[in-house]
Amino acid sequence: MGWWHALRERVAGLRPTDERDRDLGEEIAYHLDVETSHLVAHGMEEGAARELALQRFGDRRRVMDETRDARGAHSVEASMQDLRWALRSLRRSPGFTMVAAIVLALAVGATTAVFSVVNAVLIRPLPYREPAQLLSVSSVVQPPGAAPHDAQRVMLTDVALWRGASKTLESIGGFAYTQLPIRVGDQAFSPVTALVDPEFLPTLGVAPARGSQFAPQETTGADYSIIISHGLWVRAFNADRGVVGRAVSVNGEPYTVRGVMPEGFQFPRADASYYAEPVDLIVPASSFRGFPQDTYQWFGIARLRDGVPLSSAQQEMRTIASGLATTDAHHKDWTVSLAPLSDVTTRSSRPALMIVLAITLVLLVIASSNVMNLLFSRGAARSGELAIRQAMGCSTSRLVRQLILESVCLTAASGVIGVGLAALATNALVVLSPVHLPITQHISLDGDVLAFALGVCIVTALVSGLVPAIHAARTSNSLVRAPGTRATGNRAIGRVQRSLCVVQIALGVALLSVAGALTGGLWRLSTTNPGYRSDDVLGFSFSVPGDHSREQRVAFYTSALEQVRTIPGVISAGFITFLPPETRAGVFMGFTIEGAPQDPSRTDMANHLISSPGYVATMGMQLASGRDFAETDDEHANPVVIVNEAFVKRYLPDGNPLGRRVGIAFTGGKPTREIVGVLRDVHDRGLARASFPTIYIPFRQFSLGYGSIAVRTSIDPASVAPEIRRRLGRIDPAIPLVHFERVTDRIRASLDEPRFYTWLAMVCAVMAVLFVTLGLYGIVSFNVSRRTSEFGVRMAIGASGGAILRLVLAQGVWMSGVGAAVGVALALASARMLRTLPFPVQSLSGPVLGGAVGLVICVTMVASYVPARRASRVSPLAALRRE
Amino acid sequence: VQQGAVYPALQRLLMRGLVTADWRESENKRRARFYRLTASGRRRLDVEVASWRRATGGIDRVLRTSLREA
Repeated sequence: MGWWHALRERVAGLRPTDERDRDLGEEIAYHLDVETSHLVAHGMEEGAARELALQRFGDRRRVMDETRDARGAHSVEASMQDLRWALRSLRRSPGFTMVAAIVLALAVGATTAVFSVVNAVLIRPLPYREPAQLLSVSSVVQPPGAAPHDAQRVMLTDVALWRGASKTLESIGGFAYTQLPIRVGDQAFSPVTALVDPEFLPTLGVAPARGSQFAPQETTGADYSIIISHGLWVRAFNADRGVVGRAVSVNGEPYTVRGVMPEGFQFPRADASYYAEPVDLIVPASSFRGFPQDTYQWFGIARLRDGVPLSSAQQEMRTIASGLATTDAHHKDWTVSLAPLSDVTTRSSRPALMIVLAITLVLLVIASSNVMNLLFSRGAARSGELAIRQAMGCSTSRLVRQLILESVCLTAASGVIGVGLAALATNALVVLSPVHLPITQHISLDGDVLAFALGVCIVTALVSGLVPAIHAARTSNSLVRAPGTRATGNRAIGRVQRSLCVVQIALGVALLSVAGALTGGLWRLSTTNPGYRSDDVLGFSFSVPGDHSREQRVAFYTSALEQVRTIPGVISAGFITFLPPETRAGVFMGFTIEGAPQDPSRTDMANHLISSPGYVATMGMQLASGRDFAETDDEHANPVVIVNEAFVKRYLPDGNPLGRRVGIAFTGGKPTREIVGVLRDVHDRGLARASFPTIYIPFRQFSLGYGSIAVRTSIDPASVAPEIRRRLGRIDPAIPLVHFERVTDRIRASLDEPRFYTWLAMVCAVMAVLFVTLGLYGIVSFNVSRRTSEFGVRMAIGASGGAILRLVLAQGVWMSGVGAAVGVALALASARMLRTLPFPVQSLSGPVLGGAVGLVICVTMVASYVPARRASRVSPLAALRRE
Repeated sequence: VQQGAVYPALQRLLMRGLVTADWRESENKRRARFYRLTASGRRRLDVEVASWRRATGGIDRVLRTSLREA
């Protein structure tokens, strides 16, 4: 029943403190009275007896304090008193408070802001029904004797087969990204479109906010209905509440609106979309013939049945795939792979985000060890004050509590400022974040992020505050017991402080090296010569509705080029499927070469681009040999192609490639097309990537329903856009023109991702160097002020100012030397992590490491020179007088 | 050890429910606080006493053997 008595005591403890103190006072008074009368009874004189009783009892105040502490949770009043004391003492040293609060606030702000991105992208569940059950499905080709290759895609026709066979999957659906021209009334739009099978949206577990889902496949043939996004509903339909059932022309064919998706709905696998914009239009694959269902261009999404483990679903799908392989030559060597959808969508951004998060956490460690050092110095500087407080009866635990409360107040204030900074920084991050960062929901400072910030603050307050507080209280305690033992604790603490400084310098060097590697990589990328013109070239894109015949399409391309070329200020223009740099899109297919044996297990691919005469000249690209397309390369002439050097190097390494014939899958694959030119390789898939083997086809001999026109101008390229719109609108108003942008801007956009992470790393590194400098400066000046009298003595017995300067500087040099060495080791250890980034970085070699070490040593030298100089100017007399 | 040290110690025992305290009138007609062991306090005391005996018994044996050897 001990707990019952304990509980009673605790309940009794809820009485006001004064009352309990009065009781305790009475108890002690009684004790003293009884002791006194006991002594008197033994023959002592009354006054002497009381004195002896008091002496035997010990320090009454101390007893009362310790008893009060033993009551556990010390009273509210005492806490308020401690709080007031803490605030007052912080206010009394505004310099320390400001520096510590700003350092912590910056670190907490940076960490919180980056965590808000990590939380939105990596941690928060995908915004679909029971997202843990969602899987990504992909086909894997495994030719005998070759490494398996995950296509990351599936064929929609396979999805239907798997659906019929699987028992472990509740449902499975597929979709593909494209872009289709639509007409609403007399307005033309070109929304990014998802082609889906009817099971796709139910698999995600998302239903339209208005209207209904697509009808199941078996009940309809081709389904001519569409579901639109909330955004398109507002933009194209003026948020018409009666939109369901309205007629819309999609790709030249009549459709009706079936539903409107909820606001904020996003497609999965935005990371794999070719398009910068979100999906605005959802079209059933059954009604759209322009996108073959039996090619590996579809994303498969499946939902596990409740309670079924992923492994058994994977096992079942492999069995199904091998079953199909025995009956159908097409499925030979193919198998199926399942993975949690959230893993797949975050695969590309996870490494970079984790690296940036690690960087901010390192920054936080630097900041809190900095504050810890400041608190050590502060404790040492206040040891006299604390000793007096202890001598007056303040218990050690109370003193520790007060000192910790001080750092809690400090951290709380920095936490509030830090979260404010994080709110600003988060807004900036949203604006700067690369388009394809899969921000499944908007980045925001929600409850989770605030809880994270709170956790960071608590840990920081405890880590940075606890040890210095205990140390300060202990030191002052020993001062009370044995005055004059000033130096003992200080020597040890000097060592701790110097080690913390070394740690800070090491982490600073490591951070700076990593940031330097990123910056070097970005610099090298942005100074790479793309191999084509960019400043004076404007591009725009379009898609031709499917109701236009091939002749109408070619006629449009021809007259569009003619019209654009005659606009004043335009030097030349050319047609190309995708304007460079195009980091995502491409038509990657197999092909044949005349005279080369066809190996069925070969997965040789080339990018197929449709082009026109004049494109090569407009982009300023160079022909290595042969000729450009001519206006005469039309449907009546011999079929021709141009290839690039990468193609030649890989597939035609021997002999003259000119005159060899290739076949493309579009036109049956027979090798009938003569190579008439070889283009020099350019960075057309982004500055970081080398050329992919590419086949260029003249647009009059083969064309697709979409493309771009590149326009080289002698005036500001942006200024010709309105005239292009006017002239091409007159040719065919049903063809929407989109993405008017300079090639320069496309290049800049292609570097968004490395730039984003480089900036984050750079900002953190600059802050780290700042903190390290402040920290070192603080420690060295604190040491100087503590050793002033020592320096006085040294100078009095003959040391020169220069000797003192060297003495102090040596300490700074020693710390930055050790710190730099450790930092270089840390940086090298992080090199493997850097290689996981999806863009190239400078290797952590001489220049990067040397630069980081040099910079840190420079600033640490300045930080210790200033106080060292002050030390060397100490007047011996003044210093000695201070003793 | 000074006498005052007993009060924080008693307070700690109170918090653990090993003793209870009531205010009663003492022999000399003054209000005084009386402390009493609780049941769990008694048990705890038995445990502590037993372990003390074990420890001192051990030391005793060691002393005796070493004395004999000497």
